[in-house]
Amino acid sequence: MEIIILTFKRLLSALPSLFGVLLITFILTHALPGDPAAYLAGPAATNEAIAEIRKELGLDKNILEQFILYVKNIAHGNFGSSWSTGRPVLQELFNRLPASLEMTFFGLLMSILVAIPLGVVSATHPGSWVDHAGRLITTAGVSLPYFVTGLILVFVFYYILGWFPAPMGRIPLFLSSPPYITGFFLIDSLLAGNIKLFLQCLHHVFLPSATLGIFALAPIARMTRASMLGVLSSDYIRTTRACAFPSWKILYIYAFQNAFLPVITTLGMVFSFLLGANVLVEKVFSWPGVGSFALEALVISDYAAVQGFVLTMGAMYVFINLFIDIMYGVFDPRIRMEA
Amino acid sequence: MKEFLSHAKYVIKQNKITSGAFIVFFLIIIIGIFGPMIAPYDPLATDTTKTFLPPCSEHWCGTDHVGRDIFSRIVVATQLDLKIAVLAVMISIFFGTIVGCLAGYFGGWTDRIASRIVDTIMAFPLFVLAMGIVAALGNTVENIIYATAIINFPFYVRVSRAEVNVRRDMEYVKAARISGNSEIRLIFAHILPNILPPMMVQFSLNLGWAILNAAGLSFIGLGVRPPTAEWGIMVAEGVTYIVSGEWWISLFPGLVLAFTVLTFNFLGDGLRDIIDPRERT
Repeated sequence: MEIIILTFKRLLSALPSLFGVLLITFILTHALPGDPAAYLAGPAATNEAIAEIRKELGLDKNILEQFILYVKNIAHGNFGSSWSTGRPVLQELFNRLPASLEMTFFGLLMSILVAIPLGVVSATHPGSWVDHAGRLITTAGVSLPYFVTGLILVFVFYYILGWFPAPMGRIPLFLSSPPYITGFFLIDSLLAGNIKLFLQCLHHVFLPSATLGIFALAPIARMTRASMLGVLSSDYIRTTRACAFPSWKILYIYAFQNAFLPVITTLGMVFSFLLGANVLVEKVFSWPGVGSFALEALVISDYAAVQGFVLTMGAMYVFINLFIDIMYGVFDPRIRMEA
Repeated sequence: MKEFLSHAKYVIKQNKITSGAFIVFFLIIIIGIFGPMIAPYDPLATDTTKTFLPPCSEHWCGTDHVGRDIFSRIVVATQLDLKIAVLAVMISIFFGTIVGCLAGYFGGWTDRIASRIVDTIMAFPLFVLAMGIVAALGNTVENIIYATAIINFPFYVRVSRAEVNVRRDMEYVKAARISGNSEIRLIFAHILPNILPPMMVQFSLNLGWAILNAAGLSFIGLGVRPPTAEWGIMVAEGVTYIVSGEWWISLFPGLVLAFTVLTFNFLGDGLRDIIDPRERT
């Protein structure tokens, strides 16, 4: 019951953020240099034609009415059409989003699998070689620009060693994509029972995800270490030690459960970074996700597409934070009590 | 002051990484100022007989697809990259500190409005927001600076707000208030000098991130236009050649970029040690 109340409260508190995201994308759309109506009408258009289009787009109304119209359109799923392809922006984003999310989630997963054990060992053996190595790796990880990390990975693992395929998209050219169910190739190929295709997809997604993962390593490992150090020196851990519980149980059951909470918060922040980093990594690996869609749109000044992309990313981040807040309630009874 | 200097000397001596970072920092600044004079070749001069030369004694970092000397381009680009990052961070530190000080001192509605603005900016993945801003304002170097300034702004508001908030009821502020100083004078003449040290730490940590961000934007083709020498663009120019083995085109500018960011991060950590010994890690 409490968890339902908590979820409802958090949903309400996400509304202002969502409104802010809408407001900013609206301001960006209307801060455009030049007149979208004149652009759409073409160079040969008469003044009447431009006025006509302006009326059609609602640009003749005052700014408040325009904002309401904008929110209404978004609420109806109308993000406008891409000026270059003529297709609805929402459709394009929707088609390409799974590719980006697959890469991001897989990268995050890889990062968690390395960073959390690294953080735990650094905390239980402070000053050991693992601790020092961890500090070195994490500092280097945040300083390396992710697009450079990606290039180094391509050069070493594709060009020199030949272990991974060329950075050219999600599947080899000679294979066709799995039947569309979720849009995540890794999941769809498994659902279709096509193990060979699954392995191919895994092979292709590995390097781009590793690029994102290396960047995410530092904040997760650091937070795990700091949080574990705090928990391990607390009284209740001393009590469990005094009760002679086996050390693995103290570490992984009692200590880690509490130390994990701040790590969840960090994961939200990291996810936001990765959404931004996506654009750059997609360019390096020719990954057909939303980031490369936005880039293609930027090059030809297709503003509707760019604004749709910014709005989607902003909204997605708000929802991820909402999800994390609710997760917090699931893991931490104290927060449930507050609700 | 004397005590501070001896403490700074102690920290630099104790921490080899910090002292190394200080040395590299001055080196980067010198290259930034005198870059165009140091560079052995013209960064824009193309030479079709010398395309794709790997690193050799004549061209330390090789040449690119139109035969330009990569080492010279890296050296010359330092100035532009530093200029973008420093200007952007200066703009955000200026406005961020004013807004943060007012919010932290007055609280109430001022604080609520400021916090709402900051939260709204932070509701976006910041790199994506920067892309959107540049796309909306137009694709120029100035707009890269503004976009980077806007996405850095929240950090300064938060730091200065928190720092002013804990100081506004301190004895020395009360004393200054009783002596009849105006509120504005209290904030900017009495409290502000005391919060400068933590702001400087934030400045140094932020600078690395601002460079990374600006290079990222030009990597995707925003702001700086070719053939201008800039680290992000140089990395982008080599992307297509890395799969055929011409690694030096992207790798050298990329590594210089990484090294610079690393230097600023270490420098920020070192500055924090000097300014606030309690937070030493």
